[in-house]
Amino acid sequence: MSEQVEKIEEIIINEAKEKAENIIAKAKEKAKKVLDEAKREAEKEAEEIINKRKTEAEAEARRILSEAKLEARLKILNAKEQLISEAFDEAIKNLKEFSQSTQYKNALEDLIKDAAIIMGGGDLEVLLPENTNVDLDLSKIAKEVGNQTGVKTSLSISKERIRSIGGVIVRSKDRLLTVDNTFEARLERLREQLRVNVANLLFKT
Amino acid sequence: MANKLIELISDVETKANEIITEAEKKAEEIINQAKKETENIKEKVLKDAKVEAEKIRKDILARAEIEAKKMIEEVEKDIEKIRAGARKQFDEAIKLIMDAITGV
Repeated sequence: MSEQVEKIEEIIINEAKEKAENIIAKAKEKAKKVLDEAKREAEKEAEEIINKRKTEAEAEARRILSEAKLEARLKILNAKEQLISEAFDEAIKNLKEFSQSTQYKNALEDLIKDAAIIMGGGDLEVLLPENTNVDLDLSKIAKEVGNQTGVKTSLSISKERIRSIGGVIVRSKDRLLTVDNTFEARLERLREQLRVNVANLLFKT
Repeated sequence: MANKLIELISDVETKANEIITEAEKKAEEIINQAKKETENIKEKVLKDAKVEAEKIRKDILARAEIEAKKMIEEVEKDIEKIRAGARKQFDEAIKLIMDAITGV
């Protein structure tokens, strides 16, 4: 009888132990699943963080390079612009010297003739810069203007002087028409075209 | 005799129940411990990710800065070449302006 009871006891305890082992095993399995899932989620989130940061950094890098390209282009443009300006500054300096040279007379006569022809001839007066000391053959110019325009032309030097580094203003006696052929005015009129030509010359490849 | 037997079996069942209860308690502890660990895992993985992300960001930006600097240095060299080329044509450019202003 005692042996039988022991056997029953053993069976009951063994069943309980087996059940307990199952409970622990299931708990371990569940714990593993929880940890695996947490790890998967964390790794996914980590990947998103890295990708986001990488994308942001790549955009920032593109901005840095784009700004550098722009800066590079501006540096080249500024350098070219500076060279063009230097050419104009030097030309203006040379024009001042030119207006004191012997060749100036011919240039001035040509500028007077050009202005007078543009005005269609007639009774005209010539306004010269303050420091002009040139012996002009106005009657010869007037004759040439008359020949070209078919209008009898007279030219006289005005007592009025202008502020200019060189060149001339031609005005009709009635003061209705004026052509400004001073160096400054011509430079202003021709500047844009000259800039293009100077740039083509200086930076031709 | 029968009563004695019932009493004995009852004691064994109590003992068996205690084993199961102990196991259930332990199981709960295992799961709770796992839940706590998930927080630690998440924290560590995210911390590492942030460090790695920052390293990647710094590398990308450093490369861009180097490239940008190189680009500007190249341009400085190009500008020197442009200046040198332009200097050779400078007198001709001045003459071009002079001729346009003084000639008609």
